[in-house]
Amino acid sequence: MVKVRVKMMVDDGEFAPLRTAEQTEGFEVTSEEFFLDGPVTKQVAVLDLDEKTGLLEPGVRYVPPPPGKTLGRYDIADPPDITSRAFNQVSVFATVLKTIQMFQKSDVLGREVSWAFEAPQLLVVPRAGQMENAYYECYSHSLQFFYFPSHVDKRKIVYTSLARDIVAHETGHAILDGIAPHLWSAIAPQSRALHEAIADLAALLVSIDSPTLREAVLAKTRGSIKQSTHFSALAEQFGMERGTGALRNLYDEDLVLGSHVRSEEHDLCRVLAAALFSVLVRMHEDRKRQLASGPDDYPVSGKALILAAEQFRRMVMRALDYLPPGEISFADYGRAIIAPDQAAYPRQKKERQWLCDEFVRRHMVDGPEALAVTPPPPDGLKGIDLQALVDSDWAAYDFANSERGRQLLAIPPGVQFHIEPRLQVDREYRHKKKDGKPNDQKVAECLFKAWWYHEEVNRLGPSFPGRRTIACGTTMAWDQETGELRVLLTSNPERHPGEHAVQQADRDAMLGRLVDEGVLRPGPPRLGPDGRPLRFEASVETTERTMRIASIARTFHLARGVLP
Amino acid sequence: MNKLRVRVYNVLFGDAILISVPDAAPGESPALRHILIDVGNSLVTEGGEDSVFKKVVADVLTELAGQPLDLYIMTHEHMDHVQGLQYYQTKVLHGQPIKDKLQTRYAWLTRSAHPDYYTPGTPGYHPNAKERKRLEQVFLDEAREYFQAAPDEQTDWVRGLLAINNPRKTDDCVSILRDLAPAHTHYIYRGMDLNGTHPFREATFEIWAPEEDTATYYGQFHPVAFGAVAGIGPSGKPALARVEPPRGVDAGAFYNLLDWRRRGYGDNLLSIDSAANNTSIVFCLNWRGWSLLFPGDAEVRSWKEINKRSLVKSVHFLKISHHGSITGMPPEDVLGELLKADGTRRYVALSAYPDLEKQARGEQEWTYPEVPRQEVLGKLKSRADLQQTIQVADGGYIEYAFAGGTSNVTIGTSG
Repeated sequence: MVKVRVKMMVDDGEFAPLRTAEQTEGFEVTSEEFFLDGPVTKQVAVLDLDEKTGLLEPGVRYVPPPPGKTLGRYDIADPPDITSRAFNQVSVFATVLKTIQMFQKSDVLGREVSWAFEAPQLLVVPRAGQMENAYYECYSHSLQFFYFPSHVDKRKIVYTSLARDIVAHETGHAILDGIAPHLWSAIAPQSRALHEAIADLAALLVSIDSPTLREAVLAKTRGSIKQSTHFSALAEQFGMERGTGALRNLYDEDLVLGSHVRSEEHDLCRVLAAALFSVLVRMHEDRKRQLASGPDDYPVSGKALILAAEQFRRMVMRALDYLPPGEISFADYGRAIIAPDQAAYPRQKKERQWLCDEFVRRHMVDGPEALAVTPPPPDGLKGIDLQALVDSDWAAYDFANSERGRQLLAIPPGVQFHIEPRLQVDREYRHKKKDGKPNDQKVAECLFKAWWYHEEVNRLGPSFPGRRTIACGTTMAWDQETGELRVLLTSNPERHPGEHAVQQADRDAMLGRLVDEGVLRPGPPRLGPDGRPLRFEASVETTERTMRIASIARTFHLARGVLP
Repeated sequence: MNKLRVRVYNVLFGDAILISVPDAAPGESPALRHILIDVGNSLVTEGGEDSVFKKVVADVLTELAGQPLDLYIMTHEHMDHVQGLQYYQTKVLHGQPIKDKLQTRYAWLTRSAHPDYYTPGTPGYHPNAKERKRLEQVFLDEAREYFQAAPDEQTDWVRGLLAINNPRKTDDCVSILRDLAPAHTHYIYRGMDLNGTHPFREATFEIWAPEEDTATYYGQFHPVAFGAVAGIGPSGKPALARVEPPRGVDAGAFYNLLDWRRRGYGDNLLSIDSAANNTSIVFCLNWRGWSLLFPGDAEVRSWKEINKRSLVKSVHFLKISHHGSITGMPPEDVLGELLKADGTRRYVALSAYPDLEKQARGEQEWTYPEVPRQEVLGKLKSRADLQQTIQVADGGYIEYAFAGGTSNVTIGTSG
């Protein structure tokens, strides 16, 4: 298979607060079947549209490998001119692909990511127009990166597509949308905050993956990430050029969930991301202790960070596949991290305990028992033709609709439900032999998801229907070789009534805020000039009695409130 | 001279209101003072017929009987509220300044109409407002270019909003209004000291809105990639750029992306429109136990701000905001307080166009299918006595007379 070496920004050199030795670094794209000018590949197409003229700027030329070689490249100057459109096209492409490849690793998702829209390519517009923002938009299959004149020096233009963390963040949204599409229409603030937090963590992990950045950050802190660093500061350059500072800082030991941080997704996301970052810090400190041969752990801090980040990535990203469908609470996500980890490493409890400690300390769950995952009965699927469940939609539905199936999947009696296409994945789990040598194990898993609508009171006042429906569901995973049930997680409100009550109140607050902002309106949707619903209003389906939000916003933005 | 009169004129799609108030300090004999609110309409269809202003301004001048107007109030900078006096100056007075004919003692204009509102270095400068204004201007220029390139896309929906929000034409009208009472023009916002800004001694004013910094009212505003290029069409007109998907990119996905990048201009037009509506001066006039509320075209954001500041109280008369659109309706709790069901008879006046019955019979084309909304009318009727300007002839009026004591109201029309 052809590989292509591409250059990407380490950091935006002109604006970077952290002066790295190199402005760019190379990266080998190994996951794509073909490469074309643009760059255009099977999964990603960079479309350099000029927002003023509407014209498509020429895409950078692909240079195939010389005869007998396997390494191709894109035709940019060496050393690259980072102000050129050609470099911008390649850099944004490289960063998107790097993020995708990170998720696809065999110890993370163990499969090719699929998009929430029914098309193979994510379209990337590197200079989409002037705005202090960037977004992922499912409907247009695209990531759109905007630019703006620096508030500090008006002569300079800040291109968000040159910022590694911003590109990785938006790509993270696109990937998560493919994994958990219900989060798009979720109205629980914690569900939406999860989207933001995962995007932030994608940005963090892609930054840590840069040798140049690792070296620079650890040199500055003498081997520690237990403080605010370039890694923890999301969109630092973006914020500095807006004259505000980093958009978010993942290092925040004091931030807890409370009445002041409750219903706004970007605020809530800070709590989740800070909790998970604290776990990463503990993993790093622990690794350093294991690797250091003396009191000075600086020499091993880089390797420790690579190992800690790998383990962290496995836990927090792999968990996404196990999320139950529908509205998700932080507790649901915590359980989705713990359940597969517990199944794979039943005796290694340390990291799970750290995670639990953080969730409890930050009031994200009521107590440690909220994250206690009782392993499902391994023989829970005994006697079922599991291959038929994989191959046949009818067999899958028939099983779920049986008394045994409904009980196992927590589907309430009489409720209509949907079954998602089953996912077969090959996951690698890192183990060690007694002598300390790696003993990685592959597990072929099947993921089975069922979901349905749950009805609850809608406290939005008499202009709106008195009830609303939200999606909820169950994810089940079994070992395809042994047939053993490994993971069983549900967001059925009846199984976690306390959490549900809190989520319901949060949904009320969030919807109330949207009404205040004019994004959510009673009555039929307002139509635009083309007779279609307005682009940026909430899409709501209502009957006399109930309402269901189809989507709150049509985009996942990097920043809120940045536009007048 | 013991009745406060409110004349709500039928100017089709727009507002023009004359309030005549017997006003006296204790121990003095009352003088009849007059307040004129707005005077404008704007539409690309028949609801924008300008000739109604001849009749309306003539009636106002008759009522003034040679005396100056005591207070002119421009609620906000929209053509359907500001263009009537400019029309009268141009078409009826043939260029003679309207201020010579309609002599005015005091004028109130909404705060953001202050000539220095967008000027850096001046006390009234608001940088966010300036940036927003700049974005709006760029967007409107690009939109006009696009509609030249793709005229079929310019529906009545678009034409109506572009007409109402035409900043250049609006500026021309507002500059005339700024000059009505040159030494006594005031730019009004909530919290402002009103001493010396009006001649009233007995009647009092409560300013409920707007906020001084209009950033409070900004909704979302998105860049839109229209894809129209100036000068490449026939006769140097703009034309749409023709682009092909590059190799390896699905054509359907490519054109879908272009479509989505262009979509959203409707949202932006409405956002511009709402932001201006929300800068409306919302004032309550209190007189001898009566409370009358005139909210211009305030929309939900303004109502929310007003409610947040606990300014809402029950009123006897309400001019319905924004011609009966759903966005102009106060939220339920606010409406419930304004038109409290406590046995007091309350009155609402709606200056709306078109005739909904005609519209239901398909006899009337309409730019805004949502204005007025039947459900809005239903809500108002259930709470108050609803009168609509459409009930009277073009240029005619509905007149409310509020006498002493708060139970004596008569309603008449001009014919």
